[in-house]
Amino acid sequence: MRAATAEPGAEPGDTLAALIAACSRSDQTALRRLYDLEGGRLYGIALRIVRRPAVATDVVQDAFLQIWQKAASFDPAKGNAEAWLVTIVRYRALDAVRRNAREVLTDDPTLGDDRIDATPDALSLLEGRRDGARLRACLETLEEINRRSIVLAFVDGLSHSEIADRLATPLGTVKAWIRRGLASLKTCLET
Amino acid sequence: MIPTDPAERDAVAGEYVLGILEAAERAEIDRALPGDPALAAAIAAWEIHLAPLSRLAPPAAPPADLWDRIQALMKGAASVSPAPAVSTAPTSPSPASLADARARRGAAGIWRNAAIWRWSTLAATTGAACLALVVALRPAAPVGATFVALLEPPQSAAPAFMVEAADRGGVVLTAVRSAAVVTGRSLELWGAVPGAARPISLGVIPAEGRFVVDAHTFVLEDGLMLLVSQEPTGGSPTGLPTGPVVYAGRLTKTR
Repeated sequence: MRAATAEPGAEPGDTLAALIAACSRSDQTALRRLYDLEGGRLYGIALRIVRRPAVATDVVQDAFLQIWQKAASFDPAKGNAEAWLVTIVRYRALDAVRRNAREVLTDDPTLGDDRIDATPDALSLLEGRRDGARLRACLETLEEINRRSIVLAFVDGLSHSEIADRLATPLGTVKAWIRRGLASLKTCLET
Repeated sequence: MIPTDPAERDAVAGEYVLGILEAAERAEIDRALPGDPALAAAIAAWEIHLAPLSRLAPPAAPPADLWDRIQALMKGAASVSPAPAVSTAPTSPSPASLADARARRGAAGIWRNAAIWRWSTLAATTGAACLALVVALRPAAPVGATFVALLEPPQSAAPAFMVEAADRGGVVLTAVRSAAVVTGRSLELWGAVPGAARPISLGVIPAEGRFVVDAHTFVLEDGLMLLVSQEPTGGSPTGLPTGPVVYAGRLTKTR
């Protein structure tokens, strides 16, 4: 299965793109490899947002079915395989938390308040791939509070008002922080 | 209100991707996306820009049976059982044979229909927003017309359900083989008039794999698209498909 194997030294995204392409040709072993490579990471992303293993499991299951069904719509020339996978899982996870009241999703004490760290040190996790290094560099140019709000929204799936609660800050201020943060990020990423 | 100023539009696109917009704002963007390629492109750009942030979420081991569940969904493992082939519903139209239905199916290419994916995407992004169902009603088919459809999974021609319908009777759905349904989930049937903005729910498919829909809520016509989506138990909480579309087919007129 030529398409399902990566060239030596290829970016991980290239492997993922080849696997997604193989899925579009109904190659089930390619989906299995995608699951082996990214299942734990995608499950971690979902769990972070929905906070409950049973719900995260449903999210990832639906996501993989969608990956299988939509593989043909992924265009490696325009898209980015990692972003494509992450987007499918995140939107499903966000949808799940909106459907259920968040209060009932925090019943697992092991998933307490160990919220994501957004310090420059913690952001070193983004390194490893070209695009991650660039995003990290740009995030570091942001005000700490703007950066933190963006990370809480993206990684923890918190809404504006939840971020306001968490940071004990008025809602309007949080909205402005995020908006300003996104604008600076955009400028940095595009220069 | 989606802003017109380019910088503000881009900020809204970023907020959409972050997932922090209110349900109504999100729904507005979902509605605008099919006709606003620039906004769609701005959202796609943010999805790519921000994706590396997902690496801050620690990976975790999924339950051991997750892959089996995914595979069962793909392969159509049992849970909805085939019902007896004989129609007993008083309102049912004269049953068309499966072979006849296959012959009439033609190269529908329904899984290449962009609308299904738009709804799938909508499902992933819409949340619990209350959206009005707007189904464009068209002139009814001639009295006495009957229709048949085979609902198939993507990338496969192995139908899971046969639907028979008569314009004066009900819509009868019968499982023709075991259909994939995951524990704790329901399959829901939807109808969509070609070109309609939204599919309309025809009901949740019971575990015995057979049910009759009162067809008075919509008008049957040749080419009507039927979809089966996977939903939380009891059906979609939003009135729109919220889970993936797992089977689809088109009604074909038999007489």
